[in-house]
Amino acid sequence: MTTVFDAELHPLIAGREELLGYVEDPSWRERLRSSEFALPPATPHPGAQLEGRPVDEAATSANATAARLGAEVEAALLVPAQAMATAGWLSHTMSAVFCAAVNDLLVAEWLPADPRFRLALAVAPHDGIAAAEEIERLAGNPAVTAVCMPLIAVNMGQRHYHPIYAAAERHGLPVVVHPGGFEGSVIGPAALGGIGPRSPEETFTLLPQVATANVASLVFDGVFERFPGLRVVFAGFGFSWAPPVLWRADSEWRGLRVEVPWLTRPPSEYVGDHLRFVVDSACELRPEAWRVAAMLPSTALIYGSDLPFGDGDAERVLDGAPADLRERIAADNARETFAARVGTAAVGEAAV
Amino acid sequence: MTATATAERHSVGAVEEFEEGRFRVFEVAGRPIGVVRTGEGFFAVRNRCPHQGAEICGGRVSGTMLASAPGRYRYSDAEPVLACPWHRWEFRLHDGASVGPVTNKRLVTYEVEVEDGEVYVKLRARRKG
Repeated sequence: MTTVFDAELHPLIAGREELLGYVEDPSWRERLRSSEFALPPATPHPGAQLEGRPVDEAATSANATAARLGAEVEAALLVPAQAMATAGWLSHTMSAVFCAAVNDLLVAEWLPADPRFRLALAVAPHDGIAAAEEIERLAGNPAVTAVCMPLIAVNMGQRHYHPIYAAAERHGLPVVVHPGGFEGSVIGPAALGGIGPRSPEETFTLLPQVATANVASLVFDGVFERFPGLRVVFAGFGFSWAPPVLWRADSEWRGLRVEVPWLTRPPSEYVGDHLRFVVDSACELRPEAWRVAAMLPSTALIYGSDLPFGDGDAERVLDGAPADLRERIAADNARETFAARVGTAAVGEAAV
Repeated sequence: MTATATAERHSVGAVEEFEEGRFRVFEVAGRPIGVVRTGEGFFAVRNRCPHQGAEICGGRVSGTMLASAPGRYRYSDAEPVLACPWHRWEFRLHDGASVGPVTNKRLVTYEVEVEDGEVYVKLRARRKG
């Protein structure tokens, strides 16, 4: 494999105190420290999200993570998974404060560690205007390459998100959406079919429902007619479910076009132009799935290492990929997807 | 109904026999052809949907939604369309083109002439537009 553009690498923050160093307001620092007693017991809070997950320590170190990137990696998009948990929090303001602190920590400690690191800045989706302000605050940093957010129960086609899309589009930042781990719970994250509780295995099995609902919502609500420069990346949702959904969408559109006259093309064409799905080691990487992959637009799939939750071995993950798609998935599609920003900073320097 | 042929055009009846928006289907030289009167004039089409062959003249004749900004509707009856009763694909009556377009296939259309209160279908299939 010549080069790899890693579109999903998760930087981890070791603990709450490390993060609180990036919260300027002492009152908010105190609020974040004490929040675990104010939130319902089942609700994840900042402390739990930072400290409750035993991952290898290297994942919390920018230098150690940079050292484990192979020479074939030309760029690695940092997707702060810990900020995705905010979808399940009750306080919208706290979610925004938390995301801003995560972004500042990554800008200060991770981006300088390796020129290949690019940031998908985290926003909390609960408040579209606050999220757009966070994008504006940091978009001037040339290493900021995307926006990332978890999904809440409001589908992505709704006006609620328009401020986020407008800001992302204005700065050429694709919007990466990623599960927060609380999909299907009752307090705000994106819904799953039926009513829980469910086992984690059941939840993860059903995650494509969230992506399906939001792909349909984005396309049929005309988001890409309204924001023609917008790209949306589904990371952590797999891809094998997508072709049948697109077939069905195209078929429904032909008969019900009058309901959505703002669509001027079949839904699958919008997907080819605007949507990307990340292929990582957690995907259903069996020969049948790769045959399905070949049924998607050739632009649709991009590789993500999912480090530190995946092993970062692109060679192995893409082993079964159709020959004519491998390079596209490994780097070409991502390079093109993030092109508005990757030309502006250090991407590719490491390979020179 | 059978059409009466005079030279290359076929009479399908008097103007007043046509109720606005409602197709009458004729066998014209062996072909099933529907003729309809609308606010925009008379139109004739082959009674066969190019999608899956349904008898399309049983479908609804109306205006349609033009391309519009997301969340807004722009209805126009300037160019009447025929919606197939099977899958609701719409075809423009004046040239048979799919609205959207949702398909590249066209509904076969024929030229209609009205003379001295009589409606005539000209048989050579018209594929303009």
